[in-house]
Amino acid sequence: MSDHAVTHNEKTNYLNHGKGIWSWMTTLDHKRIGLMYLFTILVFFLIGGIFSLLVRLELFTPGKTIMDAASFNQAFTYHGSIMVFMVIIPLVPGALGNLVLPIMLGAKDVAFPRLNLASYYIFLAGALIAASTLFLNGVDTGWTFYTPYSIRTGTSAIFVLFGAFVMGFAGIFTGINFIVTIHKLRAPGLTWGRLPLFVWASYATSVLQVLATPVLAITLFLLMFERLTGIGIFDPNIGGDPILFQHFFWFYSHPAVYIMILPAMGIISEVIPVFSRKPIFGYKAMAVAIFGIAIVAFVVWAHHMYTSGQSELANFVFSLITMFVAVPTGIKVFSWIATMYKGTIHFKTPMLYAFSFLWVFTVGGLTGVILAALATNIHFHDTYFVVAHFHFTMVGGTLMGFMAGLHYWFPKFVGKMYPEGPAKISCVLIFLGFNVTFVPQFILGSQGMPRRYYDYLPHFTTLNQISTVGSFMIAAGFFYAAYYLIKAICCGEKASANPWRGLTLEWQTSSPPPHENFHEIPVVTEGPYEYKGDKV
Amino acid sequence: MSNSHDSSIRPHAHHFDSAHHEFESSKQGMWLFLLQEVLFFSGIFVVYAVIRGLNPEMFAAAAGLLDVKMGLTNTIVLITSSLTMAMAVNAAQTDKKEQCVWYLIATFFLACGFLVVKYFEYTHKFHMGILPGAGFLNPSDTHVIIAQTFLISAAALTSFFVARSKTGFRLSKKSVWISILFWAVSLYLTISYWVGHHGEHRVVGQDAQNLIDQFAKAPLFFSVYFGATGIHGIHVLGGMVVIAWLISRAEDAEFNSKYFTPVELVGLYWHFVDLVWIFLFPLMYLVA
Repeated sequence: MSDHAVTHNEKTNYLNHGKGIWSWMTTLDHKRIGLMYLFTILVFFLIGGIFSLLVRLELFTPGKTIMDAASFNQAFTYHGSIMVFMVIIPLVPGALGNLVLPIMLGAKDVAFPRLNLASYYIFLAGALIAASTLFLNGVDTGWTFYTPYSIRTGTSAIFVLFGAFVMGFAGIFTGINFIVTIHKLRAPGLTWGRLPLFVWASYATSVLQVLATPVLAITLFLLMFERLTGIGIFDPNIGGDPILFQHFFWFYSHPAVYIMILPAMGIISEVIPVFSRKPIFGYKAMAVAIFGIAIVAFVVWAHHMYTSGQSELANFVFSLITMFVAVPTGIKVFSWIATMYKGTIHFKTPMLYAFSFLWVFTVGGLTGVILAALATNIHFHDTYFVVAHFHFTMVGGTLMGFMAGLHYWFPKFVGKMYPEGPAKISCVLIFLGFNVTFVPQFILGSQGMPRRYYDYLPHFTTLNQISTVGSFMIAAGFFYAAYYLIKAICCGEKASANPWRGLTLEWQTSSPPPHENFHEIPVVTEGPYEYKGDKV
Repeated sequence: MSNSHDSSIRPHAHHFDSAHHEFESSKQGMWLFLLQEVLFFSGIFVVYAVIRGLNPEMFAAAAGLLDVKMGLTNTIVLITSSLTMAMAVNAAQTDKKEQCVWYLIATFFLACGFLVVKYFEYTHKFHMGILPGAGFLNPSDTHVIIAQTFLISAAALTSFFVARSKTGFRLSKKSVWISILFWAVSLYLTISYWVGHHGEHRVVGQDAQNLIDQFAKAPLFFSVYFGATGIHGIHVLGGMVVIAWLISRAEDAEFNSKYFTPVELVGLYWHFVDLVWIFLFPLMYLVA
């Protein structure tokens, strides 16, 4: 099935079609735009990562270690804001989604290529506006910008708010683009029931982006005008309500975490069948579960606010509904495991990251249930237990899912193979480092260490030190990954069109793909997961 | 631009199968954009509901300071502009180029009229000392600067889009005169404020003072009022910029029965902006 892709001239592909930096800066090719997103986001990942190391270094000993308390507030605010708005939210849709989605659909491009390029520049502009505050007065509110402190703080909060506001539009436009692409640009024979799960996941994520991000926009808009002109809607001094801010903020930010995780789950659903040589277990249930998660995402926001003083009834309702998200999530985790059962497992790096994901995300999800329960939440709210929970889901979930996808699709988009040995070492280092960093934080939280605290009681020291060591292990793992990936880009072994023997459409074209994706638009005649073991 | 034998057929983008395919996809994209706009405005309506729900008498009293006649005028102006916009779309769909241009111009002027009425409403309020939130009876120039920044930016954007048309910046084009007029009005409003009215608005309005004496939280009503109508006004301004661009393209005979997508999509946007006002008007002006 893959042989016709290699008969055309492989010298010209999307990377060398059109030369010079201007051809990249004005490209309408979704693949080039995806690469631009990827490199930009990786730069922000480095900066956000450096802030995380600064935070962990400061917490190596109680009291002052390398910075004062005010600087510490800025460090964790930048770590959070950069990672949330400039890395985890745009990463999979912007980078991998742009690269893969149209090709997976058998399309020549996304529905609105110019809007796609505009999305990238809007993202870049918003990110630069927010990052400019590093050279102004910084920001120290935490990435959640709770009022009234975010109204009063003398830092350059307004530029971070405006930057996040602008970046939101990039997400909305990408969401619109993907939805219309999936509706209107599928190849002949690619019916809804034959869509790969990465496409379903991208669709649900795009719906979340279109519906939730505007609420963030109005929230940030109102907060910006609060700081500029004192409109007072969230300011208790003028009769406004700070809890209203929290409701607005979390109405977006809870769906946001599902925007972060759903595309990563889509990647896992692609990787596991290929490397188990088995069809995905329960395709329909998996697709329905994606939408189940997306729907529940909208109605649980106030589980971030149990201790805010809202009514017992509100607490009860939100706790109950939050529990429901475990059902579709559980369907997905069990289906992935069932997919592997009696499969022929190939332990390549994408599959290793998928295994990492299964462990780390499950722990994250289970601790989410603990936090969803009212009685335990009262003790764990604003402690390191919460910090560990969301790092397990965001890093373990989204970042490890991304790494699986990065390695899975690397041969396709670079045309070279990454080196398997170093990749496995890096994966193990990241996985172990991650657990060393964050498992102690669950214990610290349950013992009562609060989050965002500059200082802590002396008996928390050992666990904090273990956690700091772990953070440097993660850093080492990622730096090593950067090293071997860059080396592979320049001098890696040439990749074939379909090194993993995948059945989705992106593997039916050359590596790297031509500018127009396919020399001949494929016609689809069966589902994407018809693997039959190693014989095929 | 087209090299084919029939110069009225604009080629569709390469990744679509046909012009119809492209049109249907573009429409779907615009409806999704409007969907997220609904969510955006919903936020401000929720703020309205919360503040009004907690302070019903304050709300009713504060709304009494709004000028219903001006609000009603604006409602009629905007609904009429929706009509002229729909006529413009129809003209494009039926190959009536001149009609399309004139209906778009009419829509532009009606939108302009809306903003002029808003300008008088707002400056009258500032005169009375009524500003949102902390600015109530404590006026500052920040609000004016913000409004003027939007106005000048809109004028600049309009000129940019108009100049970029197929035939460029030619004084024989009506859209060029519209963009010049836009600049003239924006500059006049900006400069006359700083030259003439600056400092004049620092007046304690008796109505405003009475209101805040009776209801300490009255400034919140005006936070919602200025926030909601302000954000709506920015959308009207943005719409005007895009309509000016459409006028320029319509004058270049870019729209016909085979291709009228931009007119149709801007029409959808404009009807949405009108619909938001139809909700805002009774909720803000008619609750006294």
